[in-house]
Order: sequence, then C-alpha cells, then structure tokens
Amino acid sequence: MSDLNALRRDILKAAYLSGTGHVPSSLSCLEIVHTLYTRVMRPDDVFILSKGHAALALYAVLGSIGELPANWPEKFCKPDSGLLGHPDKSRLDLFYAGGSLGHGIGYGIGAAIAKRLKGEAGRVFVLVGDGELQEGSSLEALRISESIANLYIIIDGNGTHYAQKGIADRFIFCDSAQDIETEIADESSLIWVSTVKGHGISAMEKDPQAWHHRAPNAEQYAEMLRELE
Amino acid sequence: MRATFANHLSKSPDSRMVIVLADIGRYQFRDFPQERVIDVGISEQTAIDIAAGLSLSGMCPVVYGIAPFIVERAYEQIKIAAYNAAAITIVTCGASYDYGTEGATHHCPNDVDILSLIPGMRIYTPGTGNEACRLFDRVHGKGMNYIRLSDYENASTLPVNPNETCIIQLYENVETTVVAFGNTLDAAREAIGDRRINLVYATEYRDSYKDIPGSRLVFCADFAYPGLPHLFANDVLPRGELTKDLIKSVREGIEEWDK
Repeated sequence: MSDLNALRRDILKAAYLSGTGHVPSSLSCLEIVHTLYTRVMRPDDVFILSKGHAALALYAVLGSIGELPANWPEKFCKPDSGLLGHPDKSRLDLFYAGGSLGHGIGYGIGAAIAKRLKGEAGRVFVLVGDGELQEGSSLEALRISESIANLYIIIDGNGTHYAQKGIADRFIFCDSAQDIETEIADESSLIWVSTVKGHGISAMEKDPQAWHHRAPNAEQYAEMLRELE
Repeated sequence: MRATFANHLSKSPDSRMVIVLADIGRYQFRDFPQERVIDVGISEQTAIDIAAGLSLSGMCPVVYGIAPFIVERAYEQIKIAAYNAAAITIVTCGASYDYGTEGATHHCPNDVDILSLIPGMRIYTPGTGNEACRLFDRVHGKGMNYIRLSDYENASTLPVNPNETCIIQLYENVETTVVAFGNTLDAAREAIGDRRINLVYATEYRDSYKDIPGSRLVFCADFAYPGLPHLFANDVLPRGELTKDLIKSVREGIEEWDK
C-alpha cells in the first residue's frame, strides 16, 4: 500500500502543479495498472489504456518502474513534455494513444489477431472504464471479442456509470485489483474489478463527479497529502 | 471494378495482408486466404479499430465496406487510426450516387471532402478497376489510404500514379483546364467536345493542384468538393441523368471562364 501511496502522491502533485487532470478516474484504476505492469505483464504482452483520461495512473506506474523520469509530475500537461491529459504516442513507447472512449477493445482484438497470424507469443490487456461500455463501439467489439484468444478485457468498475446487466453478467467479478493476477492465470478473459472512484482521497471518494476533471488548490492538496502519509 | 480489385488482392503474395469486412464482400474475397479474412459483421466502427490494432501489430489491413457506412459512421475511428499512426487501406464501394435509387442514406458524395480533413489521409478515386489495383499496389501498407471504387468505369485505363495527374490534352496559350476525377473522364471528354480546352485526369484528391497546367480550372467530379451546395437527394437519381447534369455543369464552368 505504501508503494501505491507514493504513486497517488505523484498523481496529486501532477494535477496540482498543472491545474488539470482526471484524478478520481486515475485513482480508481491505479492498482489495476500497477498490478498488470508489476505482476502480470511480460515483455511480449501489449497494454491498451482504453480509458485514456486515466493517463495519470499510467504515468505514475511508468514513473515507478523507471519508464518515465521520476520528476514526471512536474512535466504533466506542460509544453514539450509529451505527457498530455490523454496519452499521446509521439514521445511515449505506447501501443495505443487514446482519449475518445470505446475504441480500446477493437484495437485489442486487432492486436490479438495479429499475434495469432504471426505466430507470436504474448497476450493483450485492455483496461476499459465501466462507463465506456455504454459506447456502441464497445458493444460491437465485446461481441466480436468472444472468439478471440489471448485477449484480456479488464473493467475498472468504479460504478460511476452502470452498464446494462446483460453485459456485466458475462464478466468475472473481483473485489480487488490484486485478484486479477489469479483470474488471468486462470485465463478468465473478461474481468470486472470493483473499484472506488477517487480511491484513497476521501474528498474525491465522497464526491467523485465534482472532482472528475478538477485539480486541488494548495490547501486541498496539502490536506490530501496528509491523508496519504 | 469490385471484382477486378478483389481478384487482384486474392493473388497477392503478401502474407501480412488482412481483409477486414463489415458484412459485405465475403463472396468477392472468396479466393483470398480465408484465415486472413475477418468479417466483423455490421460493425463498421469496430472494423476500423480492429484494422488499426492489426496495423500497429505489424499486419497490413484492408478494410472493405460500403462508402457511407464506413466513412461517415466510422469517421472518428478513421481519425483516431491516423492519430495512432496506423497504416490502413480503406476501400469502399457505393461511390457517391452509385446507389442513386436507394435514397440519401446510401449516398456518399461527401466522403472525399471530409476525409481530406484528416491529417495524412491519402484519397484515391480510380476510374477503372485496373487503376484501383495499380494505385493499391503503390500505396498499401504506407499510411492511411482511401480507395473509392465505383460501379461505373471509364472506357480505358490510364497509367495512374499517386501524387500525379495524367495530361490528356494540352494546348499552347490555353489557360482553361478541365480536371476530371476518376470515373468522370469520359463525361469530361464529352463536355469538352472539340473545343481547345486542356484536359487533365486526376485519381488522387489533393489540397493543391499547382502542378496542373492552366490558371482557369474546372473540376469534373462525381463527389462534392468545397464550394458545391450540399443537398439531400429526395428522389431517385438515375445514372444517365447525373452524367448529363455533370456534362452540363462542366460546360457552364468552361463558359464562365470564357466570359
């Protein structure tokens, strides 16, 4: 947990210094991204952050494993940094640059089919927001994904938007991001993780929508940091 | 045009080529290696997203579908594929008013214009099936390409190339030039008749035509380009009538410069 609190502090710092960022949506999936990068994914695997507004979670994890400089929070959303509010590929080694919702599963299907056709090893992981399942293109892709091997779709179920029951029923539910390691080892390809929007910051957990795209001021930032000590 | 193009692709030795279909074209591509044909069903948006995922993983995808349902429904997917630096060749049938009897939902006169707004998009309007094959071979796998197939072909195939136009006739000291796009070349010839007017044939839509001779350009195209009125067609559009209208508008364009 202390590791993750350091990452949460980075996320808050980036938002505070830049005055922008989708903090609660990043906090809800931080542990999923961290688990995937540190305990699940291997060099041949592909990761797709379909909910691109959680860029801060991705940057925090990349920073913690040395793929971004430690001072990345000072550069977030600053000119010439390449660290945009939604991930851009031009200066980061990413498979997918996203931001518009409802595309990641389709990209994941394409990547998984390509691996099969080329006889390559590796799996494809797509992190999707539960709200994204409201997009028609997500539903198109979910239908097609049924027949695709080596594709793992993980839903950040922070409950802000509820997908139709029939869709959610197809997923294996996990109470904790840490459980996805076991589920993936069992080859469950549709995994729904129950998360909390704004996790770790009580003000954001209490009113996640008000904080959806908002940065803390100096006083709020100091208070939030105290919570993470 | 469609059969010529599908047969051509089916003979390709490129094992990285993947055909992504949106519920049409299975019959046309029946001779293409079936393990590399992915029919996503009536899901044009996902057809583009999957093709982008294939491209970013080292494959060379072709998406094939009906023009309005690919270009207008999946426009954002095409934009995002371009933003992700994917290389996809999008090939459509049902150009412009090819489905003139089917109503405005099936018309697609704006595809060329709106795709030209996407950075890096290359747009081709071949006039015959063999020209489509020739252009495909030169551009496929390199960036985002759009090749518009039509049910109507010119009488003859020309040696077209990307980023080039073909000069059909050029007169000294004549400034008026008709630029005929794709399948309208025969109509342009008819509009010009025996007048001393330059005629250039274009199969790629570009932002600028500075390399075309003449300072008085008259466009001859069956798609909408900036400056034309945009209207829904609320009636059947027979092909013969459309061609007559096109010939008339080209003649008016020439006469406008003569004033």
